[in-house]
This record gives sequence, structure tokens and C-alpha cells, in this order.
Amino acid sequence: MCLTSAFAGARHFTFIYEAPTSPPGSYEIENYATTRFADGFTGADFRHEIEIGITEHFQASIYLANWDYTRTRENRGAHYDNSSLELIYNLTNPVADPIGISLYQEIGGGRRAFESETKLIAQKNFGPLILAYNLTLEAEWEDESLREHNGEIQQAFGASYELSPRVSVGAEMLHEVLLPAWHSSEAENNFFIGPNVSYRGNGWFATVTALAQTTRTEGEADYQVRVIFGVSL
Amino acid sequence: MSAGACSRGHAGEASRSGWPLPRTRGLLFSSLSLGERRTRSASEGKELLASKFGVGIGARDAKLAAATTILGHCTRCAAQIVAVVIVLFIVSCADFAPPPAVSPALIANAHPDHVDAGQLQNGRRLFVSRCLECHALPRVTKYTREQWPHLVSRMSGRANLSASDQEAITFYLRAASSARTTPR
Repeated sequence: MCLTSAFAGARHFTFIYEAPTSPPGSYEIENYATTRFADGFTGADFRHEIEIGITEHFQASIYLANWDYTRTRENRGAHYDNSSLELIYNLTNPVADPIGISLYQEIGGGRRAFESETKLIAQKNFGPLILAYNLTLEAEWEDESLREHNGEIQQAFGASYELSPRVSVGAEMLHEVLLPAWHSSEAENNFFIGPNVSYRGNGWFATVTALAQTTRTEGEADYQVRVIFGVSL
Repeated sequence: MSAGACSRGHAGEASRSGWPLPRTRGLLFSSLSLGERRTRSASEGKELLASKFGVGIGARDAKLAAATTILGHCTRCAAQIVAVVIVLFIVSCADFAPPPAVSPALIANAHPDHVDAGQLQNGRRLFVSRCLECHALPRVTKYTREQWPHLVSRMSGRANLSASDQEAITFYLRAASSARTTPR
């Protein structure tokens, strides 16, 4: 018998959220590590999340600390960025309904920064094949008086195929439109694409994605690798 | 471009099909197809010769270049065929149909467990929402009526299923695993 017990809330993607929410009453810890490379290692971002299933269709997460380690010519060291609260409400199921839809809202605050991230999550499952799409609108206010404000529109698409209940492989694509000071004339387009692999153990999971930039934007990472490691409580 | 550079690579101009035109010893071969060839100076672009294969100067180079072009086309075609075969293999192995809806046949199949349509609907609803949290849903016919209770029991902790949830999913899967039903 090959069907084994798996992990509730396991992720098939790292840059893309999936429509199903955590079971009510479940608690999970998820740790994110994203390393960036541009002519060598330039830095890494880290997030530590506690995910709580509230109801059948609603989950909440607390990001205890979002921080980064930077290693460039100008800057080197670890910096606390912010902490945030994430809420996801599931509207439709990706198997039973024509398309699975969820709404996502994250609000973050930290030293001299305030962030809001809104997502539309769409997903469709065809047997072992999972297709997911995220449309994200991100707004950020920085500086001491929060005068500096930037925006970002992001869309991401991913496909993942479950080779077995434990292992899945796939690919993710990420298209970012950075809007400094919300000026479309200064918009910067970045496109990333790469493979992913996920393994689900008993009470834990790990998912890895490696993305390469195809747009060759100056100042952006050429490559980024994200790992999410989750543990059931 | 020097003659040496020309003979080393095929970079530079491209044919109508998108493949680079071969250069050999300062000559550029264009309109390459089996049995025909045009030869130009790589530096000036002046047409020097238009002839059939196997005739005149450079026939051997042209044949080699044509073979290289054909080999390139074959490699690309082979890669596309392999990709299509992989996709077809995955599609043929997978069952994309959703779990069967609660039908009269499925209800009839649940009679030994003394379960009504409402309980089966609830079991299906929980199966497509809770089990999906961890993994894609397996075909309901992948396991037998006798195997499903054990499997659901093993995973109920991970999915945080109550005893009644577990029972509802098990009843639905036991009925669906042997019922001839139509997917919704």
C-alpha cells in the first residue's frame, strides 16, 4: 500500500500560494529561506510563520519575523524587516468546483515600514496535476514618516505533478512589475522561471524552487532559490 | 569576420528557418537544401556560385553543412517528440476525473453500511477539501472497500479529522470504490 500519511498544509510551490486552507484546529510552523545570486551570493531573506486553521475555509498566519542577510559591496549583515499577519479565505474548491479561488490579505509592520499585500489565488487540480495562479498587489510605505511609498504588481503561475503522495515536481513562473512611487513610467519588469520539487514526510514537508531571471534587470537577482520547510505541531 | 573565425562557428546570419547559416573559409552557404546551394563571400556578401550538390568547388563543404543543418532540425524535432511523449505518458497515467458524485448507484453501494445520501454527500465534501490539503486526491477505485478505512484512519490525525468526519469520508470512499458512477 503506497498511500502514506502526509502533512496537512503541505506546499507544492514556494513562490505561489494554493487555494485550499488548513484544516480547522491545525497548527503548523513554516520557515522560508530565499537566497539571491547576482555575480555570486548577494543575500537571503528569511520568514518564520505559524499557520492556524480557523474554520473549514479560513486560516490565519503570523509571520513572527521577516529578516534578511545582505552581502554586497555597500551593505553587509542581518536586518530585521517586519512582522506580519496573513489571512486567507477559501471561496471554492479546486477539485469539486470548476476553479478553486481564495482571497489573501497580509498586513505587515516593522521599523519604519508598513506593508499591505493582497492576492487572488486560483487553482485547478486535474488528478495529480495541480495548476495554480496568483495575482498580487503589494503596497509599501517606508521611511520615518512613511512618505516613501512603492507598489508592485505580481503574477505567478505554477504547475506541479504528484509522482506519489510524498513527491511532486513542477515549475514556477514569476512576473513582477515594480512601481517606484507608484509611477508607471518608472515601472520595471522582471520575469523569473524555474523548476520545483516537494517532499512530504510524516509531520513535515520541504519544497524547493530555483528561479532564473530571464529579463536581465540591473540590480535584481539573476537567480533565487527558495526553500520552505514546514512542521506540524 | 576572418576566414578562421568563419570556419570555427556558425554564428551570425540565420536562414529563413531560424537556423544559422554555415560559413567555411570565408564563404557563406545560403538557401541550403538537399540538392541545391548558393555560395557568397562572407565579407562582401557577393554571390560567387550557384550550383547543384556534387558539382564544382565546395561541394564537400556544402554537403557537410547541409548535413549539419539537417542534424540540427532532427535534434529539435526529436526533443519536441520526446516532450510530447512525456506529456502523453503523464496524461495517460493520470485520471483527471474528480471523485464521483453521489448517485443512485453509489447510494445502493452504501446500503451494507446503512448510510444515507446526506452522509455520503458530507463524506465527499470532506474528502475533496480535507485530503486535498496534503496531497492530490487518489482515484477512489485505487483501493478496495476493505483498504479505505485503514488509510483514512492513518491520515485522520494529519487532516485533523473528528471521528464523525473520518466515518463520513470512509463511508463515501467504501461506496465509491466499487460503484459504477459518473463523475460530476
